[in-house]
Amino acid sequence: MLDERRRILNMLAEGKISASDADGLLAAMADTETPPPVTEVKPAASKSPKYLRVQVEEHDGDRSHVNIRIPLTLIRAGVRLTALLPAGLHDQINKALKESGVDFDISKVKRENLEELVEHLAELTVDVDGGNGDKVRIYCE
Amino acid sequence: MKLPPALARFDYRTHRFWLPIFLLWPLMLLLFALIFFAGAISLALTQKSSVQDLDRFLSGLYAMICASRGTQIDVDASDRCISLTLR
Repeated sequence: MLDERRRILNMLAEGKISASDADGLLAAMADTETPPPVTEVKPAASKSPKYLRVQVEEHDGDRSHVNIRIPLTLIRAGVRLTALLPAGLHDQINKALKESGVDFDISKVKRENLEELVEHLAELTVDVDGGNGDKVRIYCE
Repeated sequence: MKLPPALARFDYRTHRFWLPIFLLWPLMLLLFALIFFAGAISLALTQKSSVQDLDRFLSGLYAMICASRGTQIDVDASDRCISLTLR
């Protein structure tokens, strides 16, 4: 391709073709040039988190630090177990939740929803920064 | 095959203890058998749920115990440091 371009330029320099002809030829060459092959870049497979980490830092007089690591499989297993609750208990749970200010009907939650909830827990990050240096951080790793 | 936690590492200040939880596995098996029989008897009397529900509950409970592997709790205060890890 470079040879052809050079030949056109040589022809222009020798006066065999006019500048407009050379321009037309170069433009025609550019149209026929095939674009370089595009290599498909696949995003690296996201590493699924395995643990839910809860970190609490307290600066109440003495500095204290609480670090809890819970496997997500444990949460998943616990959620599956709660799905086996008998229907009679749902009313009691709903009542207790309502008394705590949470207006939520637990009987409408299905097993698939719970699985989805745990899946999305992986994207959760909670950062609470208290004014006096207390910090709470919840995330998945 | 899923197995319950076999060891627990317990750190208190500079001391480290390894607790062999696998020694409690036979006891856990016995407990599960007791729950199953008690559940089966109550099912026979009340007939409010099926044996499948009981089976699902016990397998779910076992899965939850197995999934507790890897749990780690660290409490680091100024005068004491406690850590518990299930393996």
